[in-house]
Amino acid sequence: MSNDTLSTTTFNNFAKSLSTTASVLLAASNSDNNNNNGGTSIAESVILSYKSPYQAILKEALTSDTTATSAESALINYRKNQLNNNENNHKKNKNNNSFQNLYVAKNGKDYFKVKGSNVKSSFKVLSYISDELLEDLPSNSSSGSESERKPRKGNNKLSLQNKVTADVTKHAGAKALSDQVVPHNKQGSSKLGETNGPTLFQGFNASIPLIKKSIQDNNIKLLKNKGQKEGSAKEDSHNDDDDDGEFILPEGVNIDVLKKTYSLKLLKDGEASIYTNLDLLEIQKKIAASEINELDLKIKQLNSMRNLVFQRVAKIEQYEVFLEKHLSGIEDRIDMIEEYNLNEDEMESQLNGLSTESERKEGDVSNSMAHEKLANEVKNQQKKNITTTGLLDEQSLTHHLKRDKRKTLPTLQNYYGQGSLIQRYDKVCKTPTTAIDFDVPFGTMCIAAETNPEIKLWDLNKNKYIGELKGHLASTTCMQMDSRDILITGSKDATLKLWNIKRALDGGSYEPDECCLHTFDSHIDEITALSSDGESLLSGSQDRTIRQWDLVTGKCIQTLDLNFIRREKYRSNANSMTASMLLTKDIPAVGGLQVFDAALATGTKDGIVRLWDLRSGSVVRMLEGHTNAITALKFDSAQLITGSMDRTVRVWDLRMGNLYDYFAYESSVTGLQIDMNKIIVNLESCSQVAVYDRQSKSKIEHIFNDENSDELFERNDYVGCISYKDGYLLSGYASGTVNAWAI
Amino acid sequence: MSERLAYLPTLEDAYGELPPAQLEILRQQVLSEGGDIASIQSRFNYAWGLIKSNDVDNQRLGVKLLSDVYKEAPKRRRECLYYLTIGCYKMGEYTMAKRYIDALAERESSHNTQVFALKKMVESKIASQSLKGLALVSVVIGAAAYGINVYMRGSKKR
Repeated sequence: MSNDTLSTTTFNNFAKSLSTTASVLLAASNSDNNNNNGGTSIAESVILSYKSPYQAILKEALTSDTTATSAESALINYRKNQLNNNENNHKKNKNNNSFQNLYVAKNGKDYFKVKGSNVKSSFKVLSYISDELLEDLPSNSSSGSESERKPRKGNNKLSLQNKVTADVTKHAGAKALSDQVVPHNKQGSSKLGETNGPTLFQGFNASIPLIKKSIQDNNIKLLKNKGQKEGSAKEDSHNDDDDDGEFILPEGVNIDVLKKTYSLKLLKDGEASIYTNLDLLEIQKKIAASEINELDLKIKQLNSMRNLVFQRVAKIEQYEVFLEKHLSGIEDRIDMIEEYNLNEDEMESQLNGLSTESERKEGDVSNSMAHEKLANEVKNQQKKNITTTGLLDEQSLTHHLKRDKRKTLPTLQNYYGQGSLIQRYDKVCKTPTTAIDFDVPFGTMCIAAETNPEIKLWDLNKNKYIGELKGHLASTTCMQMDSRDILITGSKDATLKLWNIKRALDGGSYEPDECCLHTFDSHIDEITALSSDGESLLSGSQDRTIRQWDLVTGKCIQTLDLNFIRREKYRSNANSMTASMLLTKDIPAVGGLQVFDAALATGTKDGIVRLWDLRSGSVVRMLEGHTNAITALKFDSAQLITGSMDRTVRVWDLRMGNLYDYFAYESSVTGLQIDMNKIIVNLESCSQVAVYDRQSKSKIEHIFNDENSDELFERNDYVGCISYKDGYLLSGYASGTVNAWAI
Repeated sequence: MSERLAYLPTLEDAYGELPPAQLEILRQQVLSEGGDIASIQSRFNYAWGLIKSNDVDNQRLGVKLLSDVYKEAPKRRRECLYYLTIGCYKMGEYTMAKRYIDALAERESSHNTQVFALKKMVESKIASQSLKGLALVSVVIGAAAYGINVYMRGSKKR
């Protein structure tokens, strides 16, 4: 068969034999120097004998230690450049196919076509395998045992396999193969590909029949289409027979004939061809299995890559937090200096003016002394100014509220799997948690617990206690935190407090009472709900009033009286009677409220949602439906969501003013958090929060995959309070533990 | 001893062109799986289909794809070397073929006759080719010498 190729084109053969001779001669001369690298030098000399743009890369790849990576990376770089060039060229010249693109190249000629180089040399470079790679062959020591384990099956298979090859290649139009199959049996020791089941070549042979079938099917389809166009009913029925069943017997096997025949030869032929088919299927199966393994491996690799990138994001975000912290520190200082006119540069010029005067009087010697003195004087004066004006005045309050928000927001929580536990904060509090909030994911958490007036501050990233806020006289029932380090809390002592968290963190530089920027003190019973939009603060209290506060002045602007709510309406209900007696805490008169600009929504004990206009102080609309006290309320631009002790969550359409969605739980709702896609519902005495998908309008079951959740339930632990922002959920438990979840 | 022996092609298997439709399907299979990131098997199928074709450029692309498979799948390297040898042999790239088969034979146990048979074939081919080449070169040199001789004589006569 070698003669066949030789006789095809004589000219080619001249060239070939010349180049082969040349390379053999070259190899001989090189082999004196180093036998091992003979291969490289052949290749090098052959490839470099062509003037091609690859010369530079090749030299780089071959000379620089010929490691697999360097060679490949050099090629990859070249390819990239080439691709870029070609993209540019493509715009100018549409005939120019982009180089190295399987999608574009219809055949080998297109594929290897490069400007400034001929097809052969580019082929050689592209298919070049470096020596390192060539020598890096997996060992075959482990494969021996496997083949010996099933010798019986092997013999059977061998003969079958030969038939398969023969069969397949015959179909593929090869030359007569009978003489080729025989030598296979004699050469009984090839171990190639033993470890991985079928070899690639087998896979190829096994896929040929499939391909033929698909071509046939296509043809049949075409025929069918034609037939249908012609409208021939007979043709249709015939085709139906053909398509009978998904599986067909191998070619030439007619089961009806075989069932009736007494010819042994016919039966044996049929048996053999079915055997062949089975074997083929077995190979296809193995190939599919190995493909699955391949994919698994890829998935594994991708997963580990994902982990690496994930770590990178985590690292970057930590760095961002670090920078933000320092930035805000600097901004604080700038603000302080600007506010109290402590600019050193100006002072310097001031001092220079003074010192020139003093220079004339006292001369050079005391110059520096006077300079220092004056500076101290000026500074002391201005420090007095600070102490006299105080830090808790209105100006600083506005200033604190007007500070810019953070420049960056953590997004790491989005890359955790849905419902996975991000972190567990053990024993944050000793008593059941009552209120929790955080500024940004992985930022600072504020948490309050029963019978404990202090509010604890916790670094979510470092899992570390960083301070506490003292000032309330009773435990905190509700809080709201924003990204400006401002925390508003409402307590059972009937006061609301505005805190600057920074001051508690700095540790030492501020007195504990200086952390509190303002106390809103007008209510006469415990605060049950609060909401702030940055300018005004709304608070609902057990004294059945809602007060609106101006955050800039700290004054109460408006009081909304809820006295019309009949206090005893649901007390007649026996169930809620016992419930409220069992619960030590009263049902809140105002379960939930939220403010946005002049719009206020309240959910109250009577189960009615009221929408208020704060400008007129009157109720605009009432949404009735809940049959028990509302305990939680949130709204966004389109919908208002309420949770109630009647164990339901209702979603109201704000524009239409009617019920949009409604779903029930096993126990009463105590808390509710929303974002665009999800509603997080905290249920009474439940070890896990419930999640509701707003888009698909369905509950998401078993979203949390924490292995400790069972344990939590056994301990009779329940979620006391939740806080949720940007896919990051904090749930505070009765045991004092806090869990961070990715939703 | 080994039932997988027949699982490797002989040199003859590399001949016998596939119908273009079949080759096209193999190609589409690779493309549908994402070109360069397609599964090893489908890339091999396409590569082997290309090697089987009679067009030198197609064979080249086939060898290129095979070398990609070699680079990417360490487990398949030994068999890939075998295929690469066959591909290069068919194309007439005997030096490349020799390089591959040498690397393979070095690591293969001596009783693997299939590999060594192929090795012998490659080596004999190279020997005959180089002989032919030498003969060609000597003929050319001889002809040149004769030509020069004739020219010189001619000039002398003048």
